[in-house]
Amino acid sequence: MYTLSAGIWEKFFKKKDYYVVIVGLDNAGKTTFLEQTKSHFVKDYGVLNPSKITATVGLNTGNVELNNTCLHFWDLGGQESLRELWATYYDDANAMIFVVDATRSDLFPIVASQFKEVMANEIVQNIPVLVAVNKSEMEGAAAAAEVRMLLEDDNHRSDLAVLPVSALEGTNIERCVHWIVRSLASQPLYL
Amino acid sequence: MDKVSHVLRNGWNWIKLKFLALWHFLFRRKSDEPEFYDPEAMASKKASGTLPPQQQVVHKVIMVGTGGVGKSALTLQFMYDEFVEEYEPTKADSYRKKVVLDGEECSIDILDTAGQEDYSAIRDNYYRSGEGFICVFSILDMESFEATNEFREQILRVKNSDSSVPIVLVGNKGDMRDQRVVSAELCRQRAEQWGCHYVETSAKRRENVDKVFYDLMREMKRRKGGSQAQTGIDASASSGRKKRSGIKKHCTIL
Ligand SMILES: Nc1nc2c(ncn2[C@@H]2O[C@H](COP(=O)(O)OP(=O)(O)OP(=O)(O)O)[C@@H](O)[C@H]2O)c(=O)[nH]1
Ligand SMILES: Nc1nc2c(ncn2[C@@H]2O[C@H](COP(=O)(O)OP(=O)(O)O)[C@@H](O)[C@H]2O)c(=O)[nH]1
Ligand SMILES: [Mg+2]
Ligand SMILES: [Mg+2]
Repeated sequence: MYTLSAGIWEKFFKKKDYYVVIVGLDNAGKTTFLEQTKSHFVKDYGVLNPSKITATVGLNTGNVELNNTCLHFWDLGGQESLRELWATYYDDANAMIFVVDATRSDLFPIVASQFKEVMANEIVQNIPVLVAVNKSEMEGAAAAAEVRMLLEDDNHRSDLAVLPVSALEGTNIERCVHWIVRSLASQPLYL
Repeated sequence: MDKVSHVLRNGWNWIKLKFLALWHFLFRRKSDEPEFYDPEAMASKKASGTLPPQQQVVHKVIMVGTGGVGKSALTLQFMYDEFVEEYEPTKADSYRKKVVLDGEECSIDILDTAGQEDYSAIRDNYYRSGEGFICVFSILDMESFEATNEFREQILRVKNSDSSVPIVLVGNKGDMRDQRVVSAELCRQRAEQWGCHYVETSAKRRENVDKVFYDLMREMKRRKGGSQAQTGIDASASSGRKKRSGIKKHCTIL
């Protein structure tokens, strides 16, 4: 009885913790995305000057609380030599954000093959994945629908969203975070 | 007054959420087996060699209509039971979600477009990838209704004038019927002219939202020819166990 009520207590009133891993090629804007997220959702957060952001080698973290949910972000480095490390974070991940630089269509073949590789992981196949099509405020940026078609994938079994964002200007960042929170709690639809 | 109803709605949503959580906590924990992974069904699929073990049917739906009519609101209400009051223009958001349609597992892929597109080459490209279309207007806005003809023409042009492409005509903001500008008669006429269903919805109150997607997906499924086993609408009301057996049944037929 005690364990049951303790369990119920935990289920309802304790904050739920989720881990969100942010991946994507280098220079896609992952760190900027995380900084922007923190500045939107963390009170009195001193925004880091975008020009101070350098290529990530280790791991940047950030915590965001909303609706009784705590999201723990892990921002990883995207350079080629660092990509092998992504998989070591999947075990504990509850959701993934995959950032794409929409202005670099020359890199799209690499983006597509990276995405395929990421999606080959069984854990990733079963967690919500958000594709953030970044730098969409720039002239000549690829449309999100175009990136969507690039990343067709039949293995993914959980929710997926592809949203255009600008990490620099903060466009659509809130929508992304809300989607993550919603999709973490969502069930398949019965019709 | 608005504030009170807002608080009440939030409260109600909260209770709903907690109740759902309790339900899952109490009844779902025992089954370690993931709900939709049915080894038997998968095995039979594999044996018959029709589908690779994890591949499944994806229904690609595109939302079209002028800005502000409620395309995003319908999409989010359908997928996540959520309504956002303030208007944020969409660029081109796309979502995929698992759906159990008539007891059969599949995915829905929704592309929520912007009202006014300027680059039409790309638009044609993704219209082409769409298999079903939801053409939305607001019953409070005659212009948005007039525009639906244009959207349909664009769709037909891209689809090589195949007038059997599944389309549902949707008149949204049905919660404000007292201020309606587009008469019900007019809507019905247009649907008849197009040879499609007309559904009047309220994204705000979640009226008929499921029906729109349900009607469309059924038609898409029929077109794909994958509908020998019709378990019927009552499947949605039955228990989880029954649903699973429904999937099994279908797969053995496959
Ligand atoms: N125009 C534009 N530039 C952006 C945007 N987001 C990020 N950038 C720029 O892109 C560059 C790379 O951003 P980072 O956030 O460091 O990229 P990253 O993905 O973390 O890169 P790694 O840490 O090396 O994997 C920086 O110069 C950013 O200012 C955006 O939305 N628009
Ligand atoms: N009253 C009412 N308002 C709605 C309904 N659906 C959407 N809206 C509002 O209409 C505005 C535009 O909705 P949105 O979904 O963003 O339109 P879109 O441009 O077609 O995606 C928002 O302010 C919504 O809150 C509805 O069914 N009833
Ligand atoms: Mg970085
Ligand atoms: Mg919209």
